[in-house]
Amino acid sequence: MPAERTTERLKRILVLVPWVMAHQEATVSEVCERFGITRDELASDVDVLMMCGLPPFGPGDLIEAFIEEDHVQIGMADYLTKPPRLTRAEAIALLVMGRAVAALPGMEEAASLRNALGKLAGAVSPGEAERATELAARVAVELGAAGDDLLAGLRHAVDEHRRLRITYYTSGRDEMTERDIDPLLLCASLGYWYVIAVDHKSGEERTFRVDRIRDAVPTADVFTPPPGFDPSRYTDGPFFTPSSRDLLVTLDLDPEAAWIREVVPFEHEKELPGGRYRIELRTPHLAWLVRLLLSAGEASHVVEPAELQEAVRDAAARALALYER
Amino acid sequence: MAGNDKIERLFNLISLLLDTRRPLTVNDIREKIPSYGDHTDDAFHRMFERDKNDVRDLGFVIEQEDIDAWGETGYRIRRQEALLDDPGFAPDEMAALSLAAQAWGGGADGSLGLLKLSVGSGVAEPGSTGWLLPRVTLDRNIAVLFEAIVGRKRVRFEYRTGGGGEPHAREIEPHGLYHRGTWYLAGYDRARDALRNFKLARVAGPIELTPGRGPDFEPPSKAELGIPHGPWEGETEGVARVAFSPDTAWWAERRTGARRIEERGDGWVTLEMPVAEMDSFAGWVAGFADAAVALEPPELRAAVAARLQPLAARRSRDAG
Repeated sequence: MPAERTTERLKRILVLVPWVMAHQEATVSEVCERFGITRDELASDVDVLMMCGLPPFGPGDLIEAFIEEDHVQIGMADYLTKPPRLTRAEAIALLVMGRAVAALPGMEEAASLRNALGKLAGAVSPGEAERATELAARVAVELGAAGDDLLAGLRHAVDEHRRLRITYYTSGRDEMTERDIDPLLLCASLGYWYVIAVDHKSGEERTFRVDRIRDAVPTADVFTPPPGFDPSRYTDGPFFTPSSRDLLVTLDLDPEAAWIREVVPFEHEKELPGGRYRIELRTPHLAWLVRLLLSAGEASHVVEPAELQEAVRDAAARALALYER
Repeated sequence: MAGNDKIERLFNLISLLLDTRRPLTVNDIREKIPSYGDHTDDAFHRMFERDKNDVRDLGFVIEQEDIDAWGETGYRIRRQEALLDDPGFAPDEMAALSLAAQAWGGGADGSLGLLKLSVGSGVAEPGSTGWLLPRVTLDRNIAVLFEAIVGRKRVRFEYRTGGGGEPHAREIEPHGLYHRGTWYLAGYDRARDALRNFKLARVAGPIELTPGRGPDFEPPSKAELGIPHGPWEGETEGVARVAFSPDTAWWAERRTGARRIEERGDGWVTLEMPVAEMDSFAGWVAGFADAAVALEPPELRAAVAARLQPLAARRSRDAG
């Protein structure tokens, strides 16, 4: 879709120009990070800008745009010292997400956020404010779920590098464990909150589902985050972080189990005849998959590994025994 | 790059229309933007129409006015209306907003919106915080639904049910959108005379507005927007009793808001809860393996056992 990419790019350039003029001190990598682009993309945006300006397009009419050392310079664009007003989509994105965040339990920023949302209408194109508000009333993002009351405390612990003692339910082994964790990051994905933390039991970086933490008690200890920790690895949720312990799993799904594709982060998918699917995924643990496959019943089939086939059969047999007493 | 020519032309057109004090005629514009000069009259006029639409899609209002007695049209963009003056955000407000906006990811509508505000208000938006919100994407289908909800237009799409199989055509009055891990559309299905929720991930192909102008329906009050949570919520089909192991009971209780009926000597806890869809609830219970057992009603017990039986009887060779 080259047409769409062109307007998307132009949309960005129209914000880039005033933003850079207002942040002359920003480095190239800061600009790239803010706008979510690569250095090459920034360089080609700057190349385009050099050719733009006002008639008659003499040297004094063109925009000044170049990258020097580690800074982007943009000048001679007096008609664009301010960014365009917010579009309807931009306003709605902020309104809807802002409300969702403000509704999270224990949000200290909720009041500031609500004030900010109240001012958004003034930043939208005239005539769009009313429609944006009406639409935002009919669009909702839900971030929390029952059992997320611990979220506020966890956020504090992440901010303060506070070590926590948690009681955690490991669904795979069906057991409660008590452990000390150094919480590094909170992230929400596929409808659940997770905390990424160094687990003292194993000494490794682990992912804990927040609704399965029964209690989280701050300890007196403050930790130093491991130097190699990279939050951006978790940008797409906690599941797409490959690890050396990963097993390759292949599942065949009958139409009745097709919903598994919506709740499992898989790597590859192939459509099979009769509305069936084959999916491939990697995971270091099988226990959560066993539970999912029990839910799906006979509509799901483990192609490999054999280890998972056995685990499903054993778990089903153990559960079934409860019904035969 | 072919895209560069177009960006250059549109950028120059926007700059020209923003910079001009008086409205410019089509001919003025054609003379002033070099790349317009390279085309025949017809080609230029078609191109100019497309460009005007693109500029409007970017959110600019192009003002048209008669500029002489012969009714010739002049064009301009009023800076005052098009550009963002200081929206007056305090630093704490900007910080709170950026906390929310990072969910949309770089280049996405929300984050671009935030960058606009941060220029306008002269307050720097802070960098990363201790959390990552889910990436909520606004794709083309969402944009179409936004338009349909605001314009009260019916939409058509092909939809696969959770049971899989071939997609079927639906025509829906869209009432609202909500996101819980993924996007859902709530709306009224005329053919089925029922309010339904649709998972957008199950929509095959594009969502289209029904043709014709003007509103197709009157939306219900917002309170009627039903958001399903799990098989234990919604219109109740029956009441279930399930016993949970000592380690899972607290979690099931927290998750479902169920009522505690009995705690046995061995620590197992019996919970009672309303159930909306008995069959998918059976799947939920089966997922606990031997950490939960369905007690009542008998149909639920039978449904859970029926799910487990074929799996317990499977030999490794049968799996494929």
